[in-house]
Amino acid sequence: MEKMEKKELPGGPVSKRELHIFFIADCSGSMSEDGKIQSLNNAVKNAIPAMQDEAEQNSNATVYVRAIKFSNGAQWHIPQKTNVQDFKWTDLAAEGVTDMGKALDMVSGQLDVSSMPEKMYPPVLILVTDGHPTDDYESALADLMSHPWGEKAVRIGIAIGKDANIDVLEEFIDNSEIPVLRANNPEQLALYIKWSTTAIVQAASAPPSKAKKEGTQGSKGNVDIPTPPSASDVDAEDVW
Amino acid sequence: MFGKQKQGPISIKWKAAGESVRGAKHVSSNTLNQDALRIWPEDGAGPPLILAVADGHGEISHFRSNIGSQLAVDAAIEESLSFIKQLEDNKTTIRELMKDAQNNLPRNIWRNWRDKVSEHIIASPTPQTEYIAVEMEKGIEKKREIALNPIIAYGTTLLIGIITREFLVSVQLGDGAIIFVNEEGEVDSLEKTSSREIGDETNSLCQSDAWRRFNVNFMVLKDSFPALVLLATDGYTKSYPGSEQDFFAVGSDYLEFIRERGLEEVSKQLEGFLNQTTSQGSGDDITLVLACSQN
Repeated sequence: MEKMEKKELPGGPVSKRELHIFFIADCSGSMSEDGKIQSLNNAVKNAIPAMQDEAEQNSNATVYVRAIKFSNGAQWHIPQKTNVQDFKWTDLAAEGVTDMGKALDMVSGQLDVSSMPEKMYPPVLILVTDGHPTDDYESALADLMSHPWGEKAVRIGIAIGKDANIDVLEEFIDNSEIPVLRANNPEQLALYIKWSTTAIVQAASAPPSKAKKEGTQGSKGNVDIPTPPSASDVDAEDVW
Repeated sequence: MFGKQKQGPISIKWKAAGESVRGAKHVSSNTLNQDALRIWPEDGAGPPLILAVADGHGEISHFRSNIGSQLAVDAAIEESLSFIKQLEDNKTTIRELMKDAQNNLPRNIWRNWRDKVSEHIIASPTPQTEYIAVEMEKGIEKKREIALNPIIAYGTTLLIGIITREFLVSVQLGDGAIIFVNEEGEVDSLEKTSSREIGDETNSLCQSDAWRRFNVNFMVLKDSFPALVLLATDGYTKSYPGSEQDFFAVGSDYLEFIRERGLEEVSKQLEGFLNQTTSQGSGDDITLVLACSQN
């Protein structure tokens, strides 16, 4: 008779590849104006059921969420990787300056190859801001891009209102195929947050294999990004 | 690297088996298995023994990759046979063969594959519907790129194991894994973690400089040799995202299974093992070839 502990399947534990989403949220003082921070809180909370449905239907990935807030410095809002099925959003408050670079440093710290599974899907970084960085974001961004997973990440930039620095978000995205998403009212913000956490997550967790580009060691992004929704899809007046 | 020594390799026989299953994702999306495998001789008894597996790329630009992977394993067998024949015909020495493995074998395989692909393109020109599908999904620039260089459509990885009485050569282009298990069940691999691919882009036979990107390892089988050699496509390795050791355990477990049940019985179970792994793991096609040494 065979021993009960005998292995049925060769190898260690088989599992789905992980997909990590990082919210990087601007909580500077200007976000308290015209209800921007509360609109962001509502947009994320309203997107959670769709994220969970998407993850439930996605048989290829286990989706985890983390969040960082930045104003005077940067802090973890959701420090531990949290399975999207257990993901809850506590409202953020806004006060202070825009230390975006500090937030990017914290993301870099988590994307080191030694602390991430080698065979995970490219992470999704969602940066939301309404202003201009007040610290040295450039060196922080350069450091982020020096990490293999930072470079391979799908980086989404959402500008809230007309004062957001679009150039900085374009530098962050660093991919001409992905536009900055410009939200000028709460409805557009909700649309972009939902798209970033569902359509993008779906694309990032199903990248078909392909050949590296000729003469390179690999391109920056290898996820086919779906077309983002248009601001005109929302029937609402600009308020920001 | 193979630890405890067995008796000299001259008396060692090898036996190989393999299986390829369609990925769980591919079953649900009704797409083909884009992997291929071939073992020479067909009964898997050696030496000499040649093992080849290939993984055609899944992206739409590589819409003939299931054919490309089949042509790749065919090219691998042909060129590997020519390679080992040099020694059989006393045309060279082991030392010169080692150089040949590094300098010429990858280029010969790559050329042979490109010739086969060119013949296939002439025999079966790409229908416009394929180009339209690429244009719709990837844009007109990508369509033009493939129209100018239709070999891209056949893109595939390739892993080869060549086992003779005197040497074991492992050849790898792109992702997947070649691992060796010694008598004690300890596992080593051709490519170390640091050099493995991050993400889902990979080196490919469709690259114009592909022959420079092969990883070739030549082992003289003098005093020690592996108990088991495994070649697997990345659908297998990516089913163990937690750590490399979880995948390496596949090697030591297969060795144990073979010792308990025999290779013939294990080969009958491979399809079930691989289907369960793709279903619970990567969802990708999985192809495995294993060869065990027998006193």
